[in-house]
Amino acid sequence: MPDISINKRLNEVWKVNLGIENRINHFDTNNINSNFSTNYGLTDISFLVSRKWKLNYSFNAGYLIRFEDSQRINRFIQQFTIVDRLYRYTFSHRFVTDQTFINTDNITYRLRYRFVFERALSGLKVDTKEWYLKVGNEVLTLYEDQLLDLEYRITPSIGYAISDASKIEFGIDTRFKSIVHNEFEFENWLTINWFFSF
Amino acid sequence: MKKSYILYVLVLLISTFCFRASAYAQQKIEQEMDVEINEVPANAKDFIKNLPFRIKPNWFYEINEVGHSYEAKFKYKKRLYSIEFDTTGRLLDVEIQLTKRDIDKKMMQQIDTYFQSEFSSYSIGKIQLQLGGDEDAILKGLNKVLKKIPSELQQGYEIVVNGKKSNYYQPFEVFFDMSGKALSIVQIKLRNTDHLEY
Repeated sequence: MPDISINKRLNEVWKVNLGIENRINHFDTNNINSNFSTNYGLTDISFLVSRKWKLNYSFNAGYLIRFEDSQRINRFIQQFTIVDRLYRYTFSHRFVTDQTFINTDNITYRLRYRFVFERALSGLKVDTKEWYLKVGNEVLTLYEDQLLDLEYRITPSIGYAISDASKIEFGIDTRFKSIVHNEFEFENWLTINWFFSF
Repeated sequence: MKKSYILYVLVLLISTFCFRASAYAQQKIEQEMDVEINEVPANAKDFIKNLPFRIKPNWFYEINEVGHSYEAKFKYKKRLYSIEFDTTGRLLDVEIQLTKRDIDKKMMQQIDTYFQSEFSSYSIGKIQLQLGGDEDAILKGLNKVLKKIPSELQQGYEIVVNGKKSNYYQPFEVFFDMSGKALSIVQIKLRNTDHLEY
């Protein structure tokens, strides 16, 4: 799951974010007899506009387009984030609502909350050329076709700050899907994320 | 005419760059790394051993715009202490984290008046009492309760404030002497947290 996130600061308050994420499937954990193979899954391209409020808060709104199985899926995103810089740790809280649709007849609504914990592996904060540990926990509620569902994601990763503006992370994204409907699905992704700001 | 126009644009660009450079010239940038105790100068370790209370500090090697130093950080009686030494182990200063309630009311009013004149809105983050002077005198001073630390050792208060200037918030570190006069104000460069927001 390679992911690139590019941020451009327009001024002290406004910034824009361009995200590109690809998913490549390797192994079907639901079918234990399946062979290891590499299949292209999907590509997400997102664009968000962000407005900072005070030092730790930001409001974001944007649009994501997903290319999957020759379909084009649209998603509108509204997001609010809080970053808490503590003595030794940094926490972030992300609240997201989004609306996903191929056509306007069938819209999936999601409400998401993600909590991220970050700790430098040397010193009190993440400095240039230092490694860090980052763990994300996310709960998603989905509403589609008058059905409500729940999903949980945990994303532990190890990151390296190439510079203050450029960070690369390697990790795992584990997803527990369809928790409410007892059609339990489990997904595991290896992730490589690159964040770049200018 | 064309030449003078190009010259005008060049002067404008250079002066814009210079203004930006000067606006950010007084920035506080720190990088600290964990160090093993055997890397810490003997004098610094001796000072910590001679403290009137038993503690086990975390040691850091700090690089900032002024130079390099060693820092011992620890918590004692719910207060954070930070003791800084130069690279030979000579004591530079001691900082003790306080709350607003620890500061004399009249002094706090003076500090608030300064912030009101400097910012359209502000919130105080971290307050530290800075001690300096002879090592033996400081060791004796640290044996006393906070309010009885000899005044000649108390050099001032270092306060981190999130202040609103030009319609946006920025963190600043302001140093007040013991008469409540602001001696320096430095803008703190916040580290990039885009990787925690997206």
